[in-house]
Amino acid sequence: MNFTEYSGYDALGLAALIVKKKISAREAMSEAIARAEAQNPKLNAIVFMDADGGRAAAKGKLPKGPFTGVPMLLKDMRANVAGWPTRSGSRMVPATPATAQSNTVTSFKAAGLIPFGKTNVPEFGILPTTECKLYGAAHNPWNLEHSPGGSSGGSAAAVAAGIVPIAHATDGGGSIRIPASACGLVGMKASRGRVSQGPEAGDATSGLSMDGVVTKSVRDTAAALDALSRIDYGDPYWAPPAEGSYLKGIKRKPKRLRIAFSTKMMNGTAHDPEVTAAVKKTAKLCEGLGHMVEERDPPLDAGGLVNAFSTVWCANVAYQLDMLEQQTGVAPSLQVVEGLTLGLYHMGKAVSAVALTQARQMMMREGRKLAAWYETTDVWLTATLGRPPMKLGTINVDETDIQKGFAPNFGYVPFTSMQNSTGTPGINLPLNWSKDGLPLGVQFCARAGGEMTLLKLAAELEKASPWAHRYSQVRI
Amino acid sequence: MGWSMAFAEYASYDGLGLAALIAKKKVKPIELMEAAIARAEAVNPKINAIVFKDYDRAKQTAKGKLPKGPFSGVPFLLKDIAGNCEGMPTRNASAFIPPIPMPKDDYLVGKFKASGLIPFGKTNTPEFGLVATTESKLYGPARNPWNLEHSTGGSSGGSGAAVAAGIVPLAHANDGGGSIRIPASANGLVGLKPSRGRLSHGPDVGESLDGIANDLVVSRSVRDTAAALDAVRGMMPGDPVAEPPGPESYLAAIRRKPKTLRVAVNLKRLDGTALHPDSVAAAKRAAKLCEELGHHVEEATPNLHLPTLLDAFVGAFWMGGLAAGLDQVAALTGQPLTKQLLEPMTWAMYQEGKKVTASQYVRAKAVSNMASREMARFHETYDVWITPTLARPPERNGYFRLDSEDLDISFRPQLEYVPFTWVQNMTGQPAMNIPLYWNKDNLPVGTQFVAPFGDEETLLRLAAQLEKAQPWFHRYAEIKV
Repeated sequence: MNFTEYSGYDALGLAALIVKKKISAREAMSEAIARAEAQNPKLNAIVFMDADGGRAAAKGKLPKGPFTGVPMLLKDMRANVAGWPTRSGSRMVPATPATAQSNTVTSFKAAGLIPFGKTNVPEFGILPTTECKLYGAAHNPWNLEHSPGGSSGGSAAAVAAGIVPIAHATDGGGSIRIPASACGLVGMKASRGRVSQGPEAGDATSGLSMDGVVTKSVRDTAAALDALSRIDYGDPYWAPPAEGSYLKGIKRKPKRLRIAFSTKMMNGTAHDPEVTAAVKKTAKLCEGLGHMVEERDPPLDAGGLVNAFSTVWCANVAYQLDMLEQQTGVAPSLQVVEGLTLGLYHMGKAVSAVALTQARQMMMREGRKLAAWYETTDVWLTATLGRPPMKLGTINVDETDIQKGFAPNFGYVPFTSMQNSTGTPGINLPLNWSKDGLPLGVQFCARAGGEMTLLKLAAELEKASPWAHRYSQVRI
Repeated sequence: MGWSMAFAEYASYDGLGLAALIAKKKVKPIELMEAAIARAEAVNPKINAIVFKDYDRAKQTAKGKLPKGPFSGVPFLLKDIAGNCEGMPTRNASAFIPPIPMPKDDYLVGKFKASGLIPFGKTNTPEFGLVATTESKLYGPARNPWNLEHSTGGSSGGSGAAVAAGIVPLAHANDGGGSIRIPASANGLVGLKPSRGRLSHGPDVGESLDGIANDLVVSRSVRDTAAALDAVRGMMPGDPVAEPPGPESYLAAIRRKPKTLRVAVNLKRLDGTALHPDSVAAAKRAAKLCEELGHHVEEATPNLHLPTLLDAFVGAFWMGGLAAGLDQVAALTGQPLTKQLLEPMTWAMYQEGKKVTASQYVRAKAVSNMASREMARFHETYDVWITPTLARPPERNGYFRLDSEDLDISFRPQLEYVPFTWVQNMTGQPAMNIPLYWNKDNLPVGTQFVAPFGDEETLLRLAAQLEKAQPWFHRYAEIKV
């Protein structure tokens, strides 16, 4: 087996080769490790590697699952593996090996995946780019001067570069969908409660955040969601029941869908023209497939939602750093955290429980409005990012003034946090590329529990406008 | 008097029993409503269970076309907290909330009505439901029908008293720290707090008290609670969390015996200190009954760190949640919150709640989640956990010094009185009071049964089995109010 062949397969494709004994799990792992060693110096996607552990697991007896023998990478946030550190990209988090395994990792392993490392993130996952002081910046395989997005940027870069066909990602404000958009991948944030965050957490980031994967094919995302959507007793609440196997579901075409699309931000601000064109082209594509498509926004208080999101977000940063201070005895300061993180921490420390509760109630009220809108709309199509992937260095992580520091995000991440705030699913699909050859993702969203609708539509679009051939254009 | 059904007969039926009489045309809904109102008028001056009357509208409803549901035509009462009903105010027993009739039913009341229940009033509570007794300045104390000097428990004490006294066979109740189970215990009733997410709190609210509180009823029979759960369960669009799986019908499920259960019983507090002998005797009696029915029973306690849990529950959820709620009321009514408008204890708790930081609140959620995980581990070994519902028999009215701004005097003693119930509010598990024991003073001393998250079915099937093995319905006839 040579390099070209390995990266020509998605995860289910590789697993099929292994089942048919065309290659062994060991060979797949060796290939992944070789690619990691060759490419990571340029990409900085992988920040912790356990090559020996990966090789040993590939040699041993593997559970029979849809992905048996396929190498994978885990994000440096959550997804704890016993014996590996998880540092959330922060110097403040000690490199202490975890003692317990996260439920997500248990699910991945049971599906046959073999994790062999951890991927780069911005500090505590707070940015739509992957640039942190602890590890340095991850680079976008489509153009190394550009950001792979964030916060699951290391995972996305590793998948787009062909090191692994699938990698773990988490999404508290867009952190699966944003790097999927920037790196030309499929990335879905599932409904609130779909994936257990145990045993270490219940509802991460006050119910905003969800675990998932970034992949090259829709079917890989569907099969991974089948593997991940397991409830653990002790989870604080459960997602609406899955409508059967997602992998089986996508073999059937979706019914004729009522699709609304937005070509501007909800406050009227225009996107980059290439992005607007991509959304319009995608809307046309949907129409061509027989769906009912019209330009229409949901009746959401987008500004209010963003404010509520910021309140909940910074309160959770404050909690996380308070807990770390308790564990390590080290107070948050510029010695141990980045300027932006410290700014968010101070902002979060000033938030009262009353203000937090009000923000969450505001999200729930908007969630009701959105649910009512989804009674007559099946899918909402938006841009994932308002501009093509930003250049590295655009955001200054040393800035402690939050307003200044986050200014480059304005207009860049126009929609994704709304799905986190309302607990609804959203999926990025790589259907368009810019004239400079950078991926321009679009996002499809649905009502809570609507993952099957999204995945069926995604599979239909993947067939109508395939993107798999594009990965061979990635030259690092 | 204008009703054709004598009280003794009316009170000898549970809600489904009355509905069956109507279905068989043995009695008309208006006759039942008049019987209920007559009973209310006769006993309410003594028990002060009902604090808002909506008789005329209820009579109109009873005369009109009724939805065909399991409770079609059965008179019903709603608690003065949540249960928002068109035309009735919801004041949380507080002078701070003006007596403005609600413009529309919330989802829960809509579903109660769709099941055929006819609300004709609102029931007494302590101010904002903060304590385990029903004594507010606004309405005055509710009194326990088993002994008028004693407390009805709280916070659904008005509903508990109204059902025990035979005004209605079941009444709405809600539970953020035990407020369904505590008055069920004090009044000798069935009271189930469902799992988090089992029913919708919309359209105005997402999660009730941030997933801590849930609604249902207090009832005289297990089947009424099962049928009420069938009637109100299920998600509505935009609910922030989903309903956990459950059987098609709880009412149908209770016709089947439970499997042989592994039952743990707790005869001490979580910190190992002693409970009142009556509460222990009640729990022992419940455990023995379970054993006689073939279940495996042993003494066992989950590994919960009481001070950490209490700190999270009281500090963050109870006081922080109160402050958030009161600030929201102030924003909605435009009426600024002043000390004069609140009871002293409530004012002091509000002040404390304002000081809670978001970081502390998020930590409290993490503490809840860890407790949920510990309980999940515990339930790998035990299907059901039995505890006393209250630390001792129902206290006398006036025992709790709610008029003090010193929370050590007014609020802290509640926690000693309520040793277990609030834990299930944190973990989101279903928990149920079952009336199996009366002490030598003939006061009811309830026992709490707790099941894993989402497993109301086991609780209801066990409760139905216990009800058959040791019926309690005949006891209500002993109440002389």
